[in-house]
Amino acid sequence: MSNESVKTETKPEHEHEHEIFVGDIREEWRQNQVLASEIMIKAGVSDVTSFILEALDKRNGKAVAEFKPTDLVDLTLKDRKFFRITPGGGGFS
Amino acid sequence: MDESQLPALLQEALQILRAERMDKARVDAIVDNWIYLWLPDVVFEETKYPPPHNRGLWVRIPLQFPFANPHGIITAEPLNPIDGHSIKGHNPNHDICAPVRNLGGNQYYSWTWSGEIGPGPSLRNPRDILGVISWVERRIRQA
Repeated sequence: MSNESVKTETKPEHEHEHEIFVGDIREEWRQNQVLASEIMIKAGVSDVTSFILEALDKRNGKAVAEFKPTDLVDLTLKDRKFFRITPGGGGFS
Repeated sequence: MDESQLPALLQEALQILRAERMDKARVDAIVDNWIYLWLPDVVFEETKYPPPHNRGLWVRIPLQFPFANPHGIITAEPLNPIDGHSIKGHNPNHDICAPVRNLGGNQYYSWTWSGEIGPGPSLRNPRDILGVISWVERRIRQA
């Protein structure tokens, strides 16, 4: 569901840091692309394997993209400022 | 419903849910070690479901939460994806709906925390109730 083609910033990454929020937790990243697992670990998740990182359209908003731990998140794109960590997995009985 | 007899950690989870996500969430039934928790404002993905995109539903939470996992949701109307595909785990008019049938609950989706889709994370904290809500929304989005 992610759309990684809509660029909103074109500055080289050394010119600024990306400020993001995972829930209420603030993070800063110097690089433009970060592994979802690194974002979740920085937010305090010790075992990221069964979690999904969701990008939100606004603080506490709706999910507009999701990332597995091994996915790269491009922080230069639209809707890459607010995130939440959602349990992954599931099944049927 | 009197929630004072619920386990302390579950009461704490409900307080967190109401304070931080859904202030109108309520417990509509307690049956067989499960609560039927009404979530009034669950987000349905606009590209996959027709309006309304905020709907109420019940999620079954164990009394032992957070040391046991949610199991199943109940809706008044069937989930109705725009493309018309059938949704796994759908059990219309299942007995599990009985505790909330008088409130309109009719459609049981027997979704488990872990299974074919993958393992769900261990729950250990009352705050994990917030993750349960986003899990429900994601399951609906991925259904």
